Amino acid sequence: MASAEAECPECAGNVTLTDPERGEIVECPECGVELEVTSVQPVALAPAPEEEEDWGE
Amino acid sequence: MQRIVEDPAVITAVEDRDEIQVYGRRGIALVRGEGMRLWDAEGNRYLDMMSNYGVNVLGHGHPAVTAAITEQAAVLLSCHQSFYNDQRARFVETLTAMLPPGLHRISFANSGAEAVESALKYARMATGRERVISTRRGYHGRTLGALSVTGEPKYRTPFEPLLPGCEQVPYGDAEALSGCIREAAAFIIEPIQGESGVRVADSQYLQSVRRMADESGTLLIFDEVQTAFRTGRTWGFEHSEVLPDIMTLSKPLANGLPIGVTVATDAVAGAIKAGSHGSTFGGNPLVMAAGIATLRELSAPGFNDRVAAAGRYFMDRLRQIQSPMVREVRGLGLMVAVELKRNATPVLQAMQDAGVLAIPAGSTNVRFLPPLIATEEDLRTAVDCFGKALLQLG
Repeated sequence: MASAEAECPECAGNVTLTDPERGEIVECPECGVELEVTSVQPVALAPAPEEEEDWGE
Repeated sequence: MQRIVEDPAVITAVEDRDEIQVYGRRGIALVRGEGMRLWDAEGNRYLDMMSNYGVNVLGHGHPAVTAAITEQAAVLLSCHQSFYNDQRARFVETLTAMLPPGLHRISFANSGAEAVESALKYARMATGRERVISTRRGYHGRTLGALSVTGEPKYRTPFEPLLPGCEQVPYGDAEALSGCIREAAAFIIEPIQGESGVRVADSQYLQSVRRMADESGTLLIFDEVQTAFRTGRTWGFEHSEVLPDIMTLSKPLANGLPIGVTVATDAVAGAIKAGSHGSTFGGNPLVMAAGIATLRELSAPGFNDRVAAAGRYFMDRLRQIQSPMVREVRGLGLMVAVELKRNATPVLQAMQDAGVLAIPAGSTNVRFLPPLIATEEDLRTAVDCFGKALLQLG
């Protein structure tokens, strides 16, 4: 397993990823915002797109 | 008068046209249920692995609940709480017999969010303090008070400013709580977070929380709207043996009819003055009758053990799925989520298309809150369907 680190674009917090994949959604441990892996080499994160269909509670 | 319910397209059109669209829609109209099964208006059958977000714990059309509702509907539907009522007294007796000593004073509402509103008001009134601390990613409802202690920015931001004096700390972080609990009226927390993706609080953490609350004179509120009866024990707090000062209940209590209950200690209840809160429909005889029938079933000998065993079987099967899309399987009893690396909506849609209904939690979790009567065969069917959906989309 390869781990990588990236900066949260929202709070500049440190996000650690294991075997990151393009399109994967992760959560920033510092601010809790959801982020999408937009690139794996180098690892880059962007705010995850808002869901079109919100079937939440 | 023409009945619109015969035409699925008309049902959809009417609801889309005339309702305020606060919910994302799933494209089907559910019109009938029986046990673990639901049917849409076109006659398609579904395995219910969501129980209407944790509500229909005994499944659909349970004979004892149906009989209680039918009988009470002919006797008395509504009775304001300024009048006593036989069904309400019977429900109170049934519920309080299941509560631990010292945590047995209750008030009525019509939903989980309303039960939370009561809890927040009682905490402020009992302590004379204003601040309420909650947890990041916690979910307590979307009325303004409940929203003020709910974590998800998407729900909160459009309605800010919310209640003053509310702040959040990371779930499971005792140190963060210790830095802000002093002089707070209450700390509200789910023993297992539901909407965030079924995250189980560590027992030691909850024990630390209890200690800090005692030291600072802060009331501890457990939101058990989703956890009650679902985790293999009657109350979620039993896993940590930590008692709250206030507890909110709702979803499972009447197997589908709207109900909310706020439970408090004698000390809290004694500080609440008449007229400080109320609910016209709260504690109405119809819902109480359904609640009595439901609680009797839920408290049957061996019921919790069966839920615990079913949950273990289900999670074992889920963990056997080999898919690069799966990040983690979490849960307790029949409150289970599978966290994916991707958005869960396409998986939920594929499962629905294949005849199994589950729900999301956050954007990446597939959440399973089946009726507590689910058999191993039901659970196996759900796992197979989920596995196929992952394969199809992976």
